[in-house]
Amino acid sequence: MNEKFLNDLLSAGIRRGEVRFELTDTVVDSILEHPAPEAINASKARVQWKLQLRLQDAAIAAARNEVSEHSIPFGRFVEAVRERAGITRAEIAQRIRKPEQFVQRIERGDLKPVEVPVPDLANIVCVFNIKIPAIRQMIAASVAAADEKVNYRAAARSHGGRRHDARGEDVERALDAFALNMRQKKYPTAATQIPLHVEAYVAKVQIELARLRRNDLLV
Amino acid sequence: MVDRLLSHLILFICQFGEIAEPDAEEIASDVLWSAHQSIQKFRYGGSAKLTTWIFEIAKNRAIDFLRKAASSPEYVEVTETASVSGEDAARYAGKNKELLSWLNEQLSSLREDDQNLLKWRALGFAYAQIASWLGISEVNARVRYKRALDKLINAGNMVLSKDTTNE
Repeated sequence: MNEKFLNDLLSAGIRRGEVRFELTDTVVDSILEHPAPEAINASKARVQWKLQLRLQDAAIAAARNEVSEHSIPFGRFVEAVRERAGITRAEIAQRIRKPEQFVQRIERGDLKPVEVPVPDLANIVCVFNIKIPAIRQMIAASVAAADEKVNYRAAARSHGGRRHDARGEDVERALDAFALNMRQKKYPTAATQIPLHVEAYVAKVQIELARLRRNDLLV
Repeated sequence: MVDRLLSHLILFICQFGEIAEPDAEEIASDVLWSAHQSIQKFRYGGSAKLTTWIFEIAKNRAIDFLRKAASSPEYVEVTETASVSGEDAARYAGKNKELLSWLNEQLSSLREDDQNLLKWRALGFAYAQIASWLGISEVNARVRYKRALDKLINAGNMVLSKDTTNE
């Protein structure tokens, strides 16, 4: 038996939890006092990013319970959850690797979900954990609201109103709700009918989610 | 606080378990997340500081990681093959549990400071660092380490010679 053998046995025992090893305040304070090598900074940044994602995911999960998925346009749902979770558009944009403007356009409905490339929409769906049935309903609501809003936008412009991209967020939200309401009054059965092009788009989203191994969202 | 702690936490996990940096990152992120989730369980003014509590979680997570790795079929126990070589290989084969229980018994006969000295050295901490934790000089730490080690080696050799005689 020699020093190396004993040290290896001891370290193996500690690492398996079979030899008691306790950390004290003195030891930890001393570890923290020593400057860490700069080489570890890249690791540090990656862990910070992972933690940030976890915090955002937890905030989104909590916020999702407060926002109804029923008959709400996709963009408005994303906006409502994001705001309740206290996450900025820039943070969402960073997660899905798109410019902030892209998130804003989706939220406002300036960009219909069916016009968004499928991988980009799938990334948003993954961040917000939206399941396929809800996606279908929300995209249908987005399309309905966008189609209906076209009439009101034209009317507003002809009466000296601002361009839609110059109007405030609250006005846009109110207009969305109003447009959806009017749509439901005009076509009472439309809410249950999903347009064919929406179905086709959702099918592609399904394939993309399966590719991303997010089978939990396909249920 | 996370900023101050993170680099040291990753380094500690790497050193404690000889764990590769990407795995240490994953463990560090788990540690900080679970500390964040269960912060209400920490008792301020209790037996340890918050930082020590977090490092304890890190130590336990590293042990869990190593146990999990050891139970996976692809795992090859490098430590054992590396430590027990040549003539000793046959002598100690399959005796890991017995050896560890013998070691625990021997450690308990030493003073607590000497036990810690041996354990920290086994994990690769420097004499200077250990000496500052124990509040002694580096030379003193080396001498005490040598004495404690010799005591264990002698005890070990005595057991081995008994075993050989019985065989």
